[in-house]
Amino acid sequence: MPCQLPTESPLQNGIKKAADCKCYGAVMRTYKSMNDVPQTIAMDAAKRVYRFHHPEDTKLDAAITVERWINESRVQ
Amino acid sequence: MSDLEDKCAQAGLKMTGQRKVILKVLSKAEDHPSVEDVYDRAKKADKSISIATVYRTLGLLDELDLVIRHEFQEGYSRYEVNWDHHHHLVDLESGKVIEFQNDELEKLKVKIAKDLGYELVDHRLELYGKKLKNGKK
Repeated sequence: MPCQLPTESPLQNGIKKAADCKCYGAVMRTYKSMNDVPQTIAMDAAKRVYRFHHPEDTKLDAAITVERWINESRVQ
Repeated sequence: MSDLEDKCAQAGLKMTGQRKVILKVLSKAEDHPSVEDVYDRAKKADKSISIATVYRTLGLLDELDLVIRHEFQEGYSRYEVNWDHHHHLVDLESGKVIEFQNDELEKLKVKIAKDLGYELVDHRLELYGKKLKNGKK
């Protein structure tokens, strides 16, 4: 049975697109610079940079946004 | 090229596809994998890798001092990449990552563990900060 999640899922609220965000460069710079530590540590550092720029975000929204940006950068 | 591949190239180690896979497994490891662990993980990326190749590669890396071999009294060795020991300071505004070493900090960590009744075996430290307006550098 195909997945019937609506396009505008509530899960998407609060998730920022890379192109809309000025801190994208800083977040990705941190993640890519920390290439000598386990990926989870580099990811955590990137999330902390993101949360500095977006204190209004919930921890979950921040985590999903950063993980999405990183995954998108891997695909490209 | 990853940092570890770079170090291997500098040490004169020929970089084959299978070695690259093994180096990637070691770089990404968050634990201290055994030969079997490295073999299992490498096999997922390249089915042609044999356990003999993993043994040989880890042996070479050990000889070149590019990995640290741990003996945890289990009857077999576990490995981790021998990175230069340093910590990170992350500039929260720009995302810049500054690597640093500090002897006082190293001594303090050993002392803290000792005061708590432990021998320090491993640790990780990341600092996060904003640049001071009148700060140095």
